[in-house]
Amino acid sequence: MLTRFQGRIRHRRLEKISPLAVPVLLEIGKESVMGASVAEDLAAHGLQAVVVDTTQEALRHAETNIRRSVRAAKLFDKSGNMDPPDEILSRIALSTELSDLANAAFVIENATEDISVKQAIYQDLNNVCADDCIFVANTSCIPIARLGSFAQRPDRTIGVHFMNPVPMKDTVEMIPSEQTSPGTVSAVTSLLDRLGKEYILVKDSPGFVSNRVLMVTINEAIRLVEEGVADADSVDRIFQSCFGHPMGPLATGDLIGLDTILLSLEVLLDSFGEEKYRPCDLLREMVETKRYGRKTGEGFFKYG
Amino acid sequence: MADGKTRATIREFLVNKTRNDAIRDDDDIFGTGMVNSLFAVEIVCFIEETFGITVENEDLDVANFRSVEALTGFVERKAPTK
Repeated sequence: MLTRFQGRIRHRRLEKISPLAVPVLLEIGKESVMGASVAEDLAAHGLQAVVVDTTQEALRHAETNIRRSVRAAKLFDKSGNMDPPDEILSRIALSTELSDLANAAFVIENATEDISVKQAIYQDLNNVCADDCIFVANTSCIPIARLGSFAQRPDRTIGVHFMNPVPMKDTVEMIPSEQTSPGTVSAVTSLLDRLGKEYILVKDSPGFVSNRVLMVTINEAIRLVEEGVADADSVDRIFQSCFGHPMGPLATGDLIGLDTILLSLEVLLDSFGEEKYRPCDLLREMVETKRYGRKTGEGFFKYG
Repeated sequence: MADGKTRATIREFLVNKTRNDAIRDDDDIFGTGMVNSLFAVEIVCFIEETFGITVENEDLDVANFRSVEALTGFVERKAPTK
């Protein structure tokens, strides 16, 4: 039995939200977790957020994730300053309608790492959103200039690579493209300040810094399991016990989602044309069998 | 559920999750870094689903969840043995 908080996340009740202070989320696919995690962080810092997805099922999934995560965050609230979970949840609205983003000041896009999906979304967003709305791409690997071009507002499009789980990670990778305006950088910096996040600025390039390195590492770790050099537990324990990493590459892959790892590697392979980015067979097999990691309950390790 | 069974169930869950069968009943699983904060989501769900209790907002204190001992005590308080 799960606890249900008395406060409900609102479905399409957007009238109370200030149009000047609406960071908006967009998330596609019920296995997605990042949009919900960003929404939780915005709400925990007193901001109103709207999570948009394609289906009610996906929104219910997001709602469950947010509710569980807010409660877990309360466990570690030593200061006692954290708002009550119900209050945090009441700042989040859920919708299946892109038109509910019309008054948004920011859209933080968390769609699946598929260029054709993102292309359609950015085109639609451009039609729906106000001219001064800033598009923040929480993409893993796709260059920001490309997304800005899809959106037809390259000056108001920027990359911010949030880390999962968003409320627990204090630093992001920020990626302005060459076309991103100083005003957009400034506005997004203010938003990040409000969230208590520091940022590391990098230039626009496929995978940026984080995922250009990380995706290859995770792919190679999976290949070691595939070749029988070591089992998953041994691979991760070497990174944790020998190198002092808090989490091994396979648990990290499970956390990000192996589906996202596969899509990211394909973007990198397509962008650079180098074999080192080619996804290994075991990764493909795990994605084909829906063993995505934490979000489906099983990846290299089991969850739940 | 009797205290011994509650304790064994909680212990089995934590041993599986931490991959550490040497865990002691009073080990602080969060303080010693055996688990990360992501685990907090799992443990709250585990307690509710396994023991059929509701974790209320006021129960959301790490002191109730930090060890086998603390978890056993919390479950017994919320769902006293009949």
